[in-house]
Parts: sequence; C-alpha cells; structure tokens
Amino acid sequence: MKKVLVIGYGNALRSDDGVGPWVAEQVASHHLPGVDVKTYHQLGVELAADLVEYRAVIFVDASHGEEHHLGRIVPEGNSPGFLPGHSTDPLSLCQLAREVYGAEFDVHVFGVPGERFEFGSRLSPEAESRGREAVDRILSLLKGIGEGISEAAGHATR
Amino acid sequence: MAQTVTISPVTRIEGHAKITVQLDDHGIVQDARFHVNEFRGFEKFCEGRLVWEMGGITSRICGICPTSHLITSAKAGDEILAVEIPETAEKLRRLITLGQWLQSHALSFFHLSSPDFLLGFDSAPAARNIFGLLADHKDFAKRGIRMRKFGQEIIEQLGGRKIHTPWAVAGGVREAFEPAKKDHLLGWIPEAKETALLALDVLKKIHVKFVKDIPNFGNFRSLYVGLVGKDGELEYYDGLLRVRDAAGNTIADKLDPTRYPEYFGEASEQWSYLKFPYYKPLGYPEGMYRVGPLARVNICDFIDSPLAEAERVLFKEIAGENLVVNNSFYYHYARLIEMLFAVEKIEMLLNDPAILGGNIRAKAMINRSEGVGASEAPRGTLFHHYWVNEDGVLQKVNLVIATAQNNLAMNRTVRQIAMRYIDGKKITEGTLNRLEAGIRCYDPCLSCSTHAIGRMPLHVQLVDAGGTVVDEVLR
Repeated sequence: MKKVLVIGYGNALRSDDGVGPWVAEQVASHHLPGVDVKTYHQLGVELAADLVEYRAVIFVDASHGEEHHLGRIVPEGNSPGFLPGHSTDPLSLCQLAREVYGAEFDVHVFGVPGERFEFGSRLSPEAESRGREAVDRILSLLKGIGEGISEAAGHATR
Repeated sequence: MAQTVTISPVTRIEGHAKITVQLDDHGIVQDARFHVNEFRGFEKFCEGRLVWEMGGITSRICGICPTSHLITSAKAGDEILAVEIPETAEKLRRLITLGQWLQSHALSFFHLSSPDFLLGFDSAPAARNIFGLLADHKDFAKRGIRMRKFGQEIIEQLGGRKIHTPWAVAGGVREAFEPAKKDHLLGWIPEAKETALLALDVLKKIHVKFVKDIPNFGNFRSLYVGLVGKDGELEYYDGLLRVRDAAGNTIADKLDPTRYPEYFGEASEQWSYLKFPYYKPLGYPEGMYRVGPLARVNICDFIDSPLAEAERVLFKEIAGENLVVNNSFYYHYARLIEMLFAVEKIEMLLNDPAILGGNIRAKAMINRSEGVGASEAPRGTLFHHYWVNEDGVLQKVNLVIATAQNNLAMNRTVRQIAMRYIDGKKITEGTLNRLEAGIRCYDPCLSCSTHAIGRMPLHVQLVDAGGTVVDEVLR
C-alpha cells in the first residue's frame, strides 16, 4: 500500500513561520511505519512529481489568527487560478500533480496559528503550544488514515 | 492634469513590489518606477552568530536560491580561515551550484515566463499560467517540472536536503560523494539535454512571434558585470570580475571580487527599500549595470561546453556590431544557454573521478577578521562579506544580492514598456502583463534581495501630475 506524506513548510528564521517544519519534525520523531515526513522552506512545483507516490498528503503551515485550520482539499475538477511565483501552495501543487500525472491522493491541510513572524529562530510559547496540539491531531489523523482515510475533523478548506 | 499608473504587486516574482506610472497633463507617460516595499534586516540578525553557522543561516534567506547563498557563504568562510579548499570539495561545490542554476532557470522559463510566450500577453489572465499551459503544451510543462526536479535532485544527492542544506562549510564540504549517487544523476543527463535543446527551439519560435514586442523590453545601453574564468570562459563558482560596456568593450577586467566595495556603490532612493548598486567609476546612475544570464553570456569569451558554446555564437549574432546584446528580453535566451551549459557541465563533473575523493575539507582556526565570498547565483553575482572577531563571531555582515544589482535596469525596463504601451488613463490587461513580463526577464527574487518573507503579487498605479491615482490594478 502507498505511504502517507507529511510536509511541514515555512521559514524557520521567521520565528513562528517555522512552526510547520517544527510540527513535521515532531511527527517524524514517532517513526511511524508507512509515513514519510519532509520539511521545506516553501513548496516548489517539482514536488508535484513526488506526490504521486503517496495515497495521502498532509501539509502543515503557519497561519494567522487564533484557531487551528484543519481541512481536506477535495478535487473539484477545476484548476486553481495560478501558481503565483517561485513557490506554490498546497492546492495548486496537488492540482498540478493530478493534471500532469493523473495522481489520486487525499490532501489534508493544517494551519497552526503563529504570533510572531519577525526574524528569529525560536517559536513563541503560543506557537509551540499550538504546534504540540497540531502534532496530536496529526497523529490521530494518521491513525485514521491508517484505517482507511477518514474525513478530517474541522472545516474543509475547499 | 498629469497622472500616475501604479502596478502592485507583481505576480510570479518573489517579494512585494509595486509599479507606478507617472503621466503628464496630456496622459503621456513621463516616468515609471519599480518600487520594492519590503525592508531588509537580515544582516543585523546574523550578527553574533558563528561564521561556521552562516551557510545554514543565509541559505534560509530564500527558498529559490538557497544553495547560492550556502556556497557564497562557505567561500567567505574560506577567506576567513585563509585556506585553499581541496580539489574534491571545489568540484562538488561546483556541481551543486550547477544544480541550483538548473532548477532556478527551469522554474523561470518553463513555469513563470512560458505562459506569457506560449499563450500570449493578451490571453485571459485566468488561463495564463502553468495550468493554462497544460491544456495545449502538457509535455512541455511536464518537462519543465522534470528539469527543475533534476536540479533539486543534484542538490539533494549532494547536500542531503533539497533546500537549506548545511552541507558546504568554511574549508570545504561536510560529506563525500558516493558512486551510486553519481550513477543515479548521470541517468538524468540524456533527458535533461533533450529538454534544454527543446526549450531553446521553442524560444527561437517565440522570438519570431514577438518580434514587435521585443524591441521594447528593456532595450537600452548599460554595463554588464560578472565573473569570468581565467581563460575568459563563462564562470559560475569562482573567477574574477569583468565589466563590459554596451558596445562590447571590456572596460575593466580581472577585478578581485573580494574588493567589490572599491568598484561598486549602493545608492538609495526614497521610494524603494531596494538599493541601487552602480559601477563607481561612472557614478550614479550612469554606472547602471546588468548582472545574471544576459550579462554572463555577454561578457564571457567562450563557454566551456560544446552545445552551449554553439548557442552562444548564435546569440552573438543578435548583437551584431555591438558585440553585446543590449535587450533584456534576451535574458531568456541567455538563461536557456546557461541551462544547456549546466547540463553539459554537470555531465563532465559527474564523469570526473576527482568528485569521489575523500579529502573534502581544509580545517583551520580564524586567521582573518574579514572575508568576502563571491559566486554567480542564477540571477547574477552574489557577494557575502563578513567581519568576525577572534572567535569567529560575526561582528558585521553585508550581502550584495543579484536582484538588487539589476534594480536600475529593471526600472529602466518598466519605463520603456510603460512609454510604449500605456496610452490614456486605463491599464489594459495586455499592458499590465507586459510590465510584469518586463520585470520577469530578470527573474527577480525580492524576498531574497530584501531578505523578507512572502510572495510578490502585482500592484500597478496610474498617477496624475497632481498625485491622484486615476487607475489601479491589484492581483
């Protein structure tokens, strides 16, 4: 059976923007079978070619606000508007993988609220706390996926 | 009443920026400016860190050219240690630098600029992107993804990670290369070479298709600056600086890049956070120069790989009597020549037994209090300048980024396009996209040059002589 991929992305030198990679590293420390974990500064188009190898992909990124955002991207058959620049976003990336490679996989997105985004290599206490919560929720989600791809809790992003 | 048009932010370019177009009382374009609105503070953040950490830190400035920062940082570290690094380490650093060129150039051409060219400047904006490209040019778009993946694969195989690898350090590199990885990467070469040649073929058809637009895309006289090898060949990792003028005369040669502050000044303008570097002997702004692919192919005497050299000869035919190509639209052509060169050179390096050597790092204590590293990043010459105390703790840092060095030229390009295409008080979609495309010739990385976070959407404002915004486009 295909594996599940967890991608944490963000700039680790922009304080809480690094919470995505931090969460991914915490998940990686559990050494779960059938789960690959990767961290990136930003998402690049070439990742589309990698996603075909997985049956589900979980993106973890920093977000603004106070609430965790957790959703499942549902393919709608329509391309998103554009890939905006040197980096891309989960929705565009997954759509690209589907259109170019015909890949079929479930996509989940976690937004972990940050407080500070200035230069700095440490997470704020708030972001770290929310990051720990995100780790627990991702581990639960992974367990559910292991039993056959469950619907993610929370609201769908699209 | 005179007016100004502003475009902000620019899509498919990193960072945050705005274009303002100033109109006169008759609605005729008087001036246009490319503003960068983000503030750089990264150098200050680096102070107090150890010189050995700087590769890992500076590679996090940017997600698109982290390897260039890593390598240049390591070279500044070499200077501070006062060491000559082992042959294997230098060749491995060269290899990863070419991987960086490949992935960056592939993204710039296939995914950011090709939609303009293959779908047209006046095509529907919702479709003028990689997804629109997929509808009619699926194999082409797919090849672009694969080419970028090959570049990233080189970085990953050498550095262990695709981005922000701390693999290169002052004195050399941390890990030796393995034969199995070499064979794996060699397996990519035939496809990569075919893709580079295909891209050149497509671009030449584009040159014909856009024959009326091309003369207005940054067609002006300037200096060209970059590193060249000891025999005058195209260089990407080391070498000495050469300055050529718009007629192809070499006005300065064999300049030591570690003495860059003697040759280049940085002017500031109130309306942009991005500085305006210039060539000191000619002053500001007459000392405007361009860096990056167009400059590199213009200033070198030859390219040390057969297919790319054959293309360079064809490129020079565009220049005619000038001996250099003065039109920024041809950044794309130069970029693809470099892409082909990178593939050929990667093959040469992979077949060089020296890359499998075990002597990969020269170790030393702090021997100098100051060091400058320079290399050719995908967008142009990159300088890292560090000052350290006796323990190797950074006291001061200065980073001179390629995108900033093209700032004057980008502004001149925007003005030329605005003067040619803006007529009246409205910004049409075609004009908007031509302004963006003019900037994209340089493939600027504003998050890199301002060391800021985020992307660069487009904001254009048309402003009259009294300062009133008469039209505005945001996307």
